[in-house]
Amino acid sequence: MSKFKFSFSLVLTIILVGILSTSVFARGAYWGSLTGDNSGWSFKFINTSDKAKDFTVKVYSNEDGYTDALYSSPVKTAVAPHPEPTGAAGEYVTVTVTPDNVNFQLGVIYKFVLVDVTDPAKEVATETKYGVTTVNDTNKKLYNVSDDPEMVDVDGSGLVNANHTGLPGAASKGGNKHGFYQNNTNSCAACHQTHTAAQGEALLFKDGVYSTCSACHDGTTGAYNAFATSSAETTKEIAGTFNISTDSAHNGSLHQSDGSITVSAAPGGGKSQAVWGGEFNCASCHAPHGAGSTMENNLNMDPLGWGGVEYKALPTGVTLDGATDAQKDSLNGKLFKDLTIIDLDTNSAALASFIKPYVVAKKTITAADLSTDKTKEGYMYSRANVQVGQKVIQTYRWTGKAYVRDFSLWLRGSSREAANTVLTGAPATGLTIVWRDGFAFGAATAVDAVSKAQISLGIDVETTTNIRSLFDSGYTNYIYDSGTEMSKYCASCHTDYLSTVRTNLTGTYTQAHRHTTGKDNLTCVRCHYGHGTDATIMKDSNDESYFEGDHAGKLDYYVDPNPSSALKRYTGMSVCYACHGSGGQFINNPANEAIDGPTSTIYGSHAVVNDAGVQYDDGEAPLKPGQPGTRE
Amino acid sequence: MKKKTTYIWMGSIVALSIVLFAVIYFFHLQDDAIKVADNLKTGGQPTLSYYIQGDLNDPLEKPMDVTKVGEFVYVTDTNHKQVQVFDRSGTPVFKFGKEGTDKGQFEFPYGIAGDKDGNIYVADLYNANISIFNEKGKFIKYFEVADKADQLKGPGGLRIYNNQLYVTDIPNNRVVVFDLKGKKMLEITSVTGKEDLLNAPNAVTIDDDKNIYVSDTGKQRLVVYDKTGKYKRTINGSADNKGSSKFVNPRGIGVASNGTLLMVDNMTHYVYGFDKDGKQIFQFGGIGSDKNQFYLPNGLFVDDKGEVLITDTVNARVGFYY
Repeated sequence: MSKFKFSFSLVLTIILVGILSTSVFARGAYWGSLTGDNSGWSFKFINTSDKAKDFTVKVYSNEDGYTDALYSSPVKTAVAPHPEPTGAAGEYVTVTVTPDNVNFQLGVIYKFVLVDVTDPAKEVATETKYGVTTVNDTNKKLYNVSDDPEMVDVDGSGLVNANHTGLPGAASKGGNKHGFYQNNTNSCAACHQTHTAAQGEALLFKDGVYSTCSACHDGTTGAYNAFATSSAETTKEIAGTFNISTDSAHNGSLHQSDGSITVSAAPGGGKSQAVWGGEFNCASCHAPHGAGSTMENNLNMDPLGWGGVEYKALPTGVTLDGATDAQKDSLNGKLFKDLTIIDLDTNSAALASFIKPYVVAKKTITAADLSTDKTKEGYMYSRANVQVGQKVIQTYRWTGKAYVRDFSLWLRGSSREAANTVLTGAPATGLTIVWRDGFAFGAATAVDAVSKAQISLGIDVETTTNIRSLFDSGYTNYIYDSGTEMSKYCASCHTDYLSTVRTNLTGTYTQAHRHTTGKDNLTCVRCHYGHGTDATIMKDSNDESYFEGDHAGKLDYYVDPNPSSALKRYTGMSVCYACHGSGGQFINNPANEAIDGPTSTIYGSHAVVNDAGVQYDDGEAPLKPGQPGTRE
Repeated sequence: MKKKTTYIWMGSIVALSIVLFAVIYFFHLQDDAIKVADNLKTGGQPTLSYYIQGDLNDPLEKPMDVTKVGEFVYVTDTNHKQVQVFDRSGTPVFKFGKEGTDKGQFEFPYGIAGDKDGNIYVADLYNANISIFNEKGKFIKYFEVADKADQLKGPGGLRIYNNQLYVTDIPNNRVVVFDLKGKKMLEITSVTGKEDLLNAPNAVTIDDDKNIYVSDTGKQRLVVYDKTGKYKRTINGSADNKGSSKFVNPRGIGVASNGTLLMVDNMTHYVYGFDKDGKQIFQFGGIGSDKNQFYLPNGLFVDDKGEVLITDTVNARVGFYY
């Protein structure tokens, strides 16, 4: 090789290395990492440019094709430059994003984008994080398992294997082991027989649902044990247990979900075969393929399929007594077609009188409509990041006396399915639909573009397994509307028992005056368990059970003298006395240690205390966790 | 004299009979072992002989596990909260236990194993204890751990080998080995370290080389350890045992005398057989109630002769393969 060629090659090499090195270090920002934990995500990055810059992190979701940012973090100003980063901890800047920031929903894929504020169009780094999460049993907050190689979808479809009971969080109750199937799933045959099924449309084997569910939910997998032995903890849960005794010493009752009865056995329900004739089993309430529900109990979003039954008022001249089964069923339908969008901005009195059980209206949002307090109605809008001045289209529900905002989820089906929500005229961008809470919002132009609506209402209960989270607004995990949604859930089968007015006769199949169940603090499960009960987990009006207090171990004290199928949380009529014990009807009752004063805002045997032990009402004995006490 | 000769003749005949019986019996046992082992070794599945379904007036309901002690078969009849015992022909002999939390009572009888003295150990997942019964089903005592820190939270699968009790503590995600006096000899909680923990292990078994096999149900895999608890390999049904698991809810496991490993896969309703290297050599089953089909099979036991017992929970029967 000549000296010339050698020199030329050397120079050329130096130039090429220089070019490559320059390109490497010319990045706007060095991508660090995105990690998730129980409280959300942490986005770490280094500014590798040669000058201080301002940065923000924007979060998008796959629901709108990553079009509109769900969230923009507060700007990190004057982030120090590190043009030659070493990776030292001090070089990193961290931006945290909470689940609430993005209105987190299971199954949604979130994309995180780091943006140079001085040049917003330029995305300096992006990372996608799968919204596949489960619930941590310790704090009930969101636990991101996306770092688990078994859980992350392999093809970007957002799908992972069902029945992977061993994945992080599996020992917690619920989680989304159901649904999100991997493309090479081996799970279908666990429940279905393609050509030799013993049961109808679902191709299930004999005792399929009950037996399959109890194969895992019997305590052998670490998943929620539906047959747990009674304990002090069991008494605080929403569901109770299926492991009960029905002998005279226990007088237990349970939801007979082994497939031996049909749904028509539900008290307060109808009997038509079209709706009520199906087998009653675990899947009547829970969704084995995944509910899309935000709660960990995997409750079916559309139990009994009301979301696909069209509401039709009775024909003129037809009364309830004379109505057919089909006509009565349609009164419970939750599919409302051709709804006019009522404009409350121009006609504030438009909802003064009954139109249909559910209607849709829109209004411009003011500061009074928003709240960061989870116990307030305005929280539903604030957590979706609705802004003052934007407009909201919202479902409203007739309570018997007035219309109130309703947060039943809007079911999304396909054009082939009856249960499907459609906002006619909705623009491709600019209108954010909050499916799980049943409303949509955006700029006035986007909202006003919606000319009519078809809504299909489902149910989404946001709660934990502690009963207090449903009805006790002082409890940390309480979220507005949870108790009401739970009652709607029970009323999918026990339809007539959902009532918000005691003064009127209510019910489709039987007319009666009924105890209020349509409020958070009067949710059905405050008095009843979901799975089963007996003397070992029922309590007395002092909220003490077989496992504690003055009557610990005394089974005969706790056995319900009125054996029934009612799954009561309290024995005998203490189910009434637990809340009404010191109300006006029972004043001067010497057995009651805490009588409310005449100006008390609370009636009930005791006041509820919050997590910090603070009482709502001075001068009353604090409650044990889970003890009832009506708060009005 | 004549009388003495008669005694000698009679004695000789008896002695000869005993020797002959011993020889025949010995070869009979050998024949059994060879027959079954060969069957497994050549890639064939165990041969079903019949099903045990329980007392006609008290049929099995959700039989979760099974063991064999001598010629008797012990089945945890879990939904009836009892143990049913059968002879070799499948005839019910007796049963013991009833619902409750006291001595001799069960809430969720699960794993079952016998020791060399014929005592029966029954794990109760819900009562969080292991009861010891004699061979007639009389409650003797609870198995007590020597150190309270080792207390079991939810015992599931059991095996007794060389006077050591192997137990899966399901809620605690671990396998513990005790001597029969309750002293902890070994504890296994993970595969390779804290990053790869066991999850809800349901079954454990041991081979003749004292290797320990764990059915790590929650992680959809079998894990093999040596006798010291050192990790050896994972079996999950994929081609190289490193891909996505083919199992859904792996449960009962057993090792035949020739080293063939059998495993029940609960939610695919199949039973798989593997060689010593973890390579699958057969599978049988599938969902159904016909012969050799299963509805959510769970427990599996292989005895020294290679006879196999499999509990079929929804079909409420125990398959006896010999």
